[in-house]
Amino acid sequence: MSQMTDELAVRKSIVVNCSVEHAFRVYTERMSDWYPFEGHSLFDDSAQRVVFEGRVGGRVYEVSKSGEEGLWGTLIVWEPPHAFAMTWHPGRGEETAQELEIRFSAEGDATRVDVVHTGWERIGPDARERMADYEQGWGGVLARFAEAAGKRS
Amino acid sequence: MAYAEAIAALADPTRRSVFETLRAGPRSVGDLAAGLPVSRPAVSQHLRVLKDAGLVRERREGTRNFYSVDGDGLADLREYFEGFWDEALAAFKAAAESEGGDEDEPDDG
Repeated sequence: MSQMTDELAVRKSIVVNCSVEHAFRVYTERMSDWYPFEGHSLFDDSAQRVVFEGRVGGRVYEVSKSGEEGLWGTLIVWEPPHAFAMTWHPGRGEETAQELEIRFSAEGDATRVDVVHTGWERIGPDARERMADYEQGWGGVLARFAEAAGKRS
Repeated sequence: MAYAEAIAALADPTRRSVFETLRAGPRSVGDLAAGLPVSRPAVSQHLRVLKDAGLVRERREGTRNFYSVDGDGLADLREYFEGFWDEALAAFKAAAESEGGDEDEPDDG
């Protein structure tokens, strides 16, 4: 199975002409300046900014022009300026969380940024157990709410 | 958009369980229902949604239908995320380089 998991992980790298510290700051503090909100936002054209609560357990969320917050996920690794990782479930219950890991490493005077995006495609007793835990918690409440709300429409 | 359907289909926890079970190998509706706290008709309904989203395929063997993961549906979903990251990282690179590592940016709103 792990072979299949590897095959399904989305991996991307890019080299940016700036320091590791700057790259990390632009990514986490100035995401609002570059993130392609259009088509990739909970609020679409009324999206305004993205906030990283910089600590393990901190939230990453979007804020709309009217001040509404939309959760994207929670930080599970916070090692500035080298890496962060977070759960990723924008607009969905936590039980459907995918995982993002972003690493920033020096390559000469430039910085290589490596993205690894894994998630629902993971399989195994561990993943299933975690999902069962979530289902008994808040994630399950949200999922049931979504299901009930969906049925009524 | 196939990827949007796939994401929506997998947002349901039971469908996600069904899909993850199928990742381990083909199963009949009965096999799937036995391992989940839902009825056979409910499993059939979930399979139909997954099939419509291009995530699973159906194959008849004798009197039984077997379901398995559909590689094409996964490819669509993967392609979507690949495209998303290409776009996001290109935009990130442009922003990081335009600021040139200078911490004191003029704020010209």
